Amino acid sequence: MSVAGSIDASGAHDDHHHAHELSFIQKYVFSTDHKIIGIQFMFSGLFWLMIGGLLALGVRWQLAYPFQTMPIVGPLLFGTEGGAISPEFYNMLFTMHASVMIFLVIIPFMVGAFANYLIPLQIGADDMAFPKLNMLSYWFMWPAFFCFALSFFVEGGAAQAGWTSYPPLSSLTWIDPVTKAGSSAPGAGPGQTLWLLGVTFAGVSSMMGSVNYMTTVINMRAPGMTMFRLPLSVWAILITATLQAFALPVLTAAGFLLLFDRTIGTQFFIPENLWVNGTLITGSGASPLLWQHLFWFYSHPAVYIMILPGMGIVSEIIACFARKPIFGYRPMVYSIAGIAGLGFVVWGHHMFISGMNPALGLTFMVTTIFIALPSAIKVFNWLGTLWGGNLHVSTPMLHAVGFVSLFIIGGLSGIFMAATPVDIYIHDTYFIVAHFHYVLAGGSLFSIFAGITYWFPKMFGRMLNDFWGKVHFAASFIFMNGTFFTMHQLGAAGMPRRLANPYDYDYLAHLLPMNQFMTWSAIGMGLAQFIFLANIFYSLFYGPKASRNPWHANSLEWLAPSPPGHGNFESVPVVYRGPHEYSSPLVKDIDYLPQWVAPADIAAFEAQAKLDQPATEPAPPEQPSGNDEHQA
Amino acid sequence: MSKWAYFFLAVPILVVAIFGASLLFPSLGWGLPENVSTIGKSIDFLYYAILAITGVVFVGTQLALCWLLFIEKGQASKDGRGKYTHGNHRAEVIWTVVPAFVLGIIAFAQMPAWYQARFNGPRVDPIARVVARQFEWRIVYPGPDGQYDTSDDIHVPNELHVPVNRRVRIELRTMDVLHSFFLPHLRVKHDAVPGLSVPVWFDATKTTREYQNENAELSNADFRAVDGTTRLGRICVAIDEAKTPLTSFLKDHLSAETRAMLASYLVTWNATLGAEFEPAVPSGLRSAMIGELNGILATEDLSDPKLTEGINLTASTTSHLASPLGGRKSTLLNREILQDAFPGEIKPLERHFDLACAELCGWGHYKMKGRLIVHETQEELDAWLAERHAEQEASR
Repeated sequence: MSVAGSIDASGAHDDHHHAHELSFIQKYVFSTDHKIIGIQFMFSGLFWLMIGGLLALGVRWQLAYPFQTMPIVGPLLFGTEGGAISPEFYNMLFTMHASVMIFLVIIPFMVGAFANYLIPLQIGADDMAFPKLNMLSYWFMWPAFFCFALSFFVEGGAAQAGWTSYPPLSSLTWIDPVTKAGSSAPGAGPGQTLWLLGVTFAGVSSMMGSVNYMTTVINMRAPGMTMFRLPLSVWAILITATLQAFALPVLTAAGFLLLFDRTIGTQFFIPENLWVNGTLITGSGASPLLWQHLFWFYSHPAVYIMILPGMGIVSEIIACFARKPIFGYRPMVYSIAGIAGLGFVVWGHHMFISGMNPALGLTFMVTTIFIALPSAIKVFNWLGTLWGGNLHVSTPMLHAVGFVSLFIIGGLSGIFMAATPVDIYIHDTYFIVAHFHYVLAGGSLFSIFAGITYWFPKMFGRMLNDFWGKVHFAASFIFMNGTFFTMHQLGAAGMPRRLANPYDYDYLAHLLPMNQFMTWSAIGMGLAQFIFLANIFYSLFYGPKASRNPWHANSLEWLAPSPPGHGNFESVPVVYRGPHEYSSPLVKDIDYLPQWVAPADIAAFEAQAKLDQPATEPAPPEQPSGNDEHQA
Repeated sequence: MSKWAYFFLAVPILVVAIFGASLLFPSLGWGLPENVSTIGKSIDFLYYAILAITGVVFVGTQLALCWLLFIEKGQASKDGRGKYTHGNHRAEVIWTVVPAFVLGIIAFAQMPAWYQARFNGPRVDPIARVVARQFEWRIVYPGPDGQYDTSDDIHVPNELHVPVNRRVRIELRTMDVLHSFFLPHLRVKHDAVPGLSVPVWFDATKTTREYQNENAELSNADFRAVDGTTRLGRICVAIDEAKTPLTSFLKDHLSAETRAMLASYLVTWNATLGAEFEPAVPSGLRSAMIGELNGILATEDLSDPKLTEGINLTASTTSHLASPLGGRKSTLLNREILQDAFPGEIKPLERHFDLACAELCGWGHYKMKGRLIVHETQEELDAWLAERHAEQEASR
């Protein structure tokens, strides 16, 4: 036939993956192959996930056992001070936990690992539009890694001004770099400068990725792949890339302004007549609120950058394991776009009590409340997809359903903060900490787990262990809720964030036992990740070999070999239908109808697939799967 | 997938249980703390209204999710296939329009409260200027001349004094970095921004004294506040940590004087509080103490003067001890008895409306603890200010 036969691969295309052998360095280190780059992003993301998790456990230790000797770490770092961490170290812990998780884990995972790996495979392209730029986008992460890692070892330690780095706390070091007179905090030294540099490098990396993703999706789709035949994961990434391309320059610019304030004596964010540590600073009359506007103009869209790709991933997985077309494909696309569009006009909800004009607060309140609408539509559509489905239990599916369950909590708790009067009370309390952890740890992290477990067979040609995958899911899900749910109660009781010892306050003293429970849950959640890592590394080498299409899924990546070679497809695929034709009436004996099967070849495909049937379990690797037939 | 439906069912059940417990048992302190301001009433109402709406949606969607997982194979899929549908226009319209309508109501319903909190300030002179800095609240009253920045300004670190039931305005400033002025019991919070002078207004509907008296009845909270700082509290904690029987602990570790004090303390509480004894003791210690109290009373001869040596029992204390008091109202009185008996050990009850900093301001952020003192009348406040002013003048 000829799906692929009709548009035969050009000679040049063939050369691409047969003509020359690449050296190890070219193939695995400075690779221009989108799949290797995606996997590089994935492994560095996993590494930093562990670092970020350890930092979080430091925060949790302090909240459960304030100023008591920290096991292992305490005697090493603070042996001379009795092994208890200091308040400035505590500030560093939560600042770097958030910064690492956001800039080095979740964003690179979502728009680095998944976008890179999936876009060309799912749109039927042989690589990204700009492979070299793609390579650079990964290697620009390394200066960011370097800056963040180095900052722990410089004088004064890493940044301590929170991941939001509000000036003047984060900006007042330029007065006297030698004596530190005028410095607002111990960590406002070189650590803060390195933080800004690191964020800027991560931003450059993201921007390179964004440009590449947009170009690739718009220009390099396989024949027949119309925009409304794209898998929702690609739609989500495309919209995310657009969001990022328009929001990120603002943060980069703001970062440079703050950097100039810190290094060459400009005064973009420093108002007049501050007294800091007994030093009078005659500022310029600028406003620190400017930073907050610029920062949140990026960082609120960044929240959606961190969740939208996850939504796309989860949509694909739920459709696949419910063996059903996604319920409301177009509404799903429109609601992703709606979230992204509204995402640009809600940043002010971080500033309801900041001194911003309260009339503006009203405007931002209305937009913020209405951003719950597209999120609700997505949840209803996921439920609609499950309805009447023939559900298959698998690790990716459990993570995806877990995502929906946790995202409902995170989405609904957002409405409290959107209500301006309620926000007066719960702003900067643990209620907001609970909210964004349900969206980021519950949402993004579980969608990352779902994505890794779903595409692992494609990435490495091996299956993950399903039993341990489920154990990892169950443990993570339980401990995740144990860690974060009761934060709502802390917030309702009025416990502010970022207090090194909240129990000094009479009205918070009774919350200590609850915090101890949460800390032990967090430790459990940390330990559960070792199951995941062990599963990944064991299966990399010893997992059963995966067939091309182990999940019987429909989108184009499952046409390519597992793992796909350089250039992905043996020949250019042609797309005949949408990505979610599960249980289509056009096929009787199998319940999926891939995008690449031509209408004329359906019977042949079905016959071949039936031969491979009881392939609910991973099929042997070399089997001549139905897919191969079409590429002859 | 049906087994996993039970797993996911645990989420709504536990969430409802936790929120239910925090609403049904306010003494747990898992919900909003007591509100003592007018704007707080509207904020709390909105909070509970949103909790109700989101609660219904939450339970509904979670149960729907579990039900969909539980039925596993769709009714339409007897042949092991999913239901082939790409969606339903009517369903999409319904679940777009209905949430939009509800969200619209939420958006508009809160506008009056926001107006009260941020637009409709009292047209009065600011009662005080609150200047935050690393890491304290410097509160300045204008003094007799009514002007700020003059030599008769009254400076009070970390204590903001206001009269009850009057909408007062403060001028919020900062000397250095960002801070946030947070009165949790009044539902008031605003950032202090360098370069800005922010007007913040509120009214307190309860005096500090009322608040302290009421909370004295909550013996739990009462003792928690005291335990950490008093010797008796330390003894209780030490006994708790030693995990030994109370009697042997007493014999091994405590001097006769302390034993006597503790015994007397226990007797006092036992005699006067009866059933209230239990919650007054730190958790963990309760059962051990109660169980062994009788033992102590049996072994120690409390009439032995050696035991009460070193303790100054005034006549009134002795008479109080002699006549058992009943009823929950007695707690405050008992505290007075104890204070009377152990002047250095039991400090006067110090529950206050806390003033916290809610914006990261450096390493000492957690130490920016202030308090709001609500006076019963303007006259009382004026008298206090005058006293303060006189002190300041005298030290000049």
